[in-house]
Amino acid sequence: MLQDLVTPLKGEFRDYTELRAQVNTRQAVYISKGNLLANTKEIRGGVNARVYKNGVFGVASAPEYDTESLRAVVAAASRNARFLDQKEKPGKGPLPSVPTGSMIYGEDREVSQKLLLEVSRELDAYVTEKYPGLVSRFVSARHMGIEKLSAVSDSYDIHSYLPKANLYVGLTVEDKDGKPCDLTCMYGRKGFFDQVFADLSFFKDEIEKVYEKLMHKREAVYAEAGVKECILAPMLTGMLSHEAVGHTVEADLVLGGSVAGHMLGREVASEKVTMVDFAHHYAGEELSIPVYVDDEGTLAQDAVLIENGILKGYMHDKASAMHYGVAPTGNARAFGFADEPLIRMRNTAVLPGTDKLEDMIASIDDGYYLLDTNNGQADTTGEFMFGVTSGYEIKNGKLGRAIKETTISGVAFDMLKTVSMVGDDLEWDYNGMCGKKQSIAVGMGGPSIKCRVTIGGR
Amino acid sequence: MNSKEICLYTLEALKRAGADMAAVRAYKSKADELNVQAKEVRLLRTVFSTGIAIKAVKDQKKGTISINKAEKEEIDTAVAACMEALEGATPDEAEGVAEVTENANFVSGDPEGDLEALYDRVREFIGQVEDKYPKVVLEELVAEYIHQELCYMTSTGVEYNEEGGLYGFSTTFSAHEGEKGSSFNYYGARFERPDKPLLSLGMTEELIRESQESLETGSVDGKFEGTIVLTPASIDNLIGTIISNFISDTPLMDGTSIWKNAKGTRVASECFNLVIDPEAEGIVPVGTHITSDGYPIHKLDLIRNGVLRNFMLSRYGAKKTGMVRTYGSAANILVLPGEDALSDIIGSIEKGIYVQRLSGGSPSATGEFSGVAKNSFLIENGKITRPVSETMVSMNMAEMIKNIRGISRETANDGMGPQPWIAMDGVTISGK
Repeated sequence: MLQDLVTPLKGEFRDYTELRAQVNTRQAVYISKGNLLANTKEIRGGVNARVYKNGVFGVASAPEYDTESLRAVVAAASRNARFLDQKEKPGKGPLPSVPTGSMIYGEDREVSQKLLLEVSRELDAYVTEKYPGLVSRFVSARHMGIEKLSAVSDSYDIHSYLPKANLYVGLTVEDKDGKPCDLTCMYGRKGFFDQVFADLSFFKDEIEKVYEKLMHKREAVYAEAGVKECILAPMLTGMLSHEAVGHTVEADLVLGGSVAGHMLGREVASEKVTMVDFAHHYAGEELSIPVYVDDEGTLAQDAVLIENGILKGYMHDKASAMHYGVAPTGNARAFGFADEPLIRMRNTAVLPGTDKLEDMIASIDDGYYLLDTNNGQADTTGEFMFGVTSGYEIKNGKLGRAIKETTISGVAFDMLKTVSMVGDDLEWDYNGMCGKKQSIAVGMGGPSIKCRVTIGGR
Repeated sequence: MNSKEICLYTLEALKRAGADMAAVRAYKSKADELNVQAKEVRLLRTVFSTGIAIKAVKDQKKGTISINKAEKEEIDTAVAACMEALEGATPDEAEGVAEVTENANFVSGDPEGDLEALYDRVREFIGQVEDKYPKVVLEELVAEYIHQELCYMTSTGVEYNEEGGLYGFSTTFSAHEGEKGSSFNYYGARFERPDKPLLSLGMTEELIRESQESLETGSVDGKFEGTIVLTPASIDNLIGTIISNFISDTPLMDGTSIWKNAKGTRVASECFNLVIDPEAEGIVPVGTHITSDGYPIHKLDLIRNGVLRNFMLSRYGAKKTGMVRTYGSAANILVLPGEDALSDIIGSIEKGIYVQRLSGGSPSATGEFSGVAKNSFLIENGKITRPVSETMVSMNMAEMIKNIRGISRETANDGMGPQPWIAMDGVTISGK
């Protein structure tokens, strides 16, 4: 763990100051078709200061971690804040005050690169032997540890260490026309790699499920383009929560003109829909992106975004909370040591309902059951597009043929009004990174939902 | 230590630790970055960075590590970690580092940087957008000056040094009137000196103007087969697919490339030329001189008159596939302009979409792609008629480039090289 050189300097802060030391350690192994293409470890650490003055911020960062460097970045950040204050003359008041205190969370330890290599090789050998028909395959193992030590004027100080581990196995076969056809099995959770993947049998079971879907997909047909009744599986509901709704209710994007700016207190979804950005716990369990104190020293709270179909609130940092006259929610997160905190989601989900998946499928005469996605993009208008990598037709209440890769699209706040059933099968997905200026790990989740959505196809 | 001294020290440490071969890339940089939110310059950030990326090979086993500290003890620790990592790796005959072809030193761009001038350009931009396009909101704007000194060195004698300074900006914007709002769009460009208004760079003004014209949009009716025009702002979707799915290391090594046996054969319409050209006019030549595996980049035809001339293979990819090494990575990959005026190309289109942004998943290995045409316009009877929303396009990229209707002689340049407009037939376009 980092030695605390940060909080002793708190007494030297003049203007509002956030001072942070941080180390990100990322390890990756990537084996493609038996070739070891990546066997890497990346350690990036340093110090960062952000100083607030009359409505503007100055930020400075440097890679060295010592008292001299910490003082230097505070001085440089102060200079930058003064430069902008003189140029812009914004004349704004102080940032909102928040509770003060301190917290220590998590413990640092090494994860051996050898372990990532061994697990990757074991899985590569396993899929090669078990699925002899593969034309290509890859295994990717990743581990990331983030240590932060921060002191913030009149706020919470924190020293935290958060590890996260991920595995990805990609399988490619030839489809019925001899063209490559692929699916990826993914799993990621908080924790050290050796803990999360201590037993690989559950992951091998997941690979088997993916392989079964792939066998269906090789025989797949084109989806019929148009607006269809669909069931979105948890992974797609999670993507919808994050991309299509979540970003529109980040207060900085609301200020930038997102569609949600006009919708607070209005009905934006079916009354069956409730959506929350959880700070650290859901249903008594700690989530995989636990944020107890954000990078502005705010004690993190859950942000209720949609409650029974009504848009209830936004996610805030201190500056946006000041603008809207509300309390900050603890969503200010920075990815790397050099980065400034931005309003970012944490663990964002549509809450589960009571419907059973089989009843949901049985209720559709002509539609699709859409399972997996590899990509999602959305607009601040709420218009979204998600790639769908696997799915099935639903005909007369029964699952039919698999469909080829396609895309679904719509406008989130229109589409959410069509949600008529919400499953009881909440699942979380921690495989993705969100790229809003800085790339950061986020969690997204949800149950299966039944809705009407535009599907691409031929 | 400067970046050259870091490389020399690190290579020596790797040799002592028993590496047979090694490559080191080291840089030191300083960046000043202005951030705008909703017309206010809200944040100024100064970032001092150091980076050392190490690759070591021993007994044909590879390890890599990267750190951001330049003290000798930190480098020694990283070297030990790199050697430890490679011990667990599998031997691979294709592993190695670049051999010397030609060593070089590059100096480019503005070595000093002028933060005041950059601030003034940002303020000018905010003012110009406000005056000319008052409905447009700048959701975000980031403008920066970065100065970097970089050294790449191998144990086999390769050495490149580069010192350069460049400016860049990127902005995300949308238009608003009452409760109506357009889709956001974004654009960015790099430039050598802050001597021109940001609004005049590349496609910036066209995209901002179109944003203001896109407050009232509608889907297209039904489904039809039509023509799409990709602009210099959206042509990367096509270039990116060709490279990552058809002609680069991974699809060729995996055997999933549908062009794996197509070298020397026609893969595109005759008017289609795709080149790597770091010397093209208007390129800001910073960080563009060498591949990531240490070879100097020169002009190279990838597709000439529709015929696939070269793959983009790294040293490793070439060894693995038994084919010729070219460049495994390059920044300036350009579609060459054609003969036609853009207005004539659009004039010839009966029905189609003028596409400024494609929002879609990754194209499949075969080039199948479907996505939403964002910030795009309907073309009817040779004229751009109205902005569209909720309109999907589905196509196979490999088939599309055999159906090229025309490539414009006009180009736009974002500092990475001039790109034309390209019109392709046979795309499935569907509305609600």
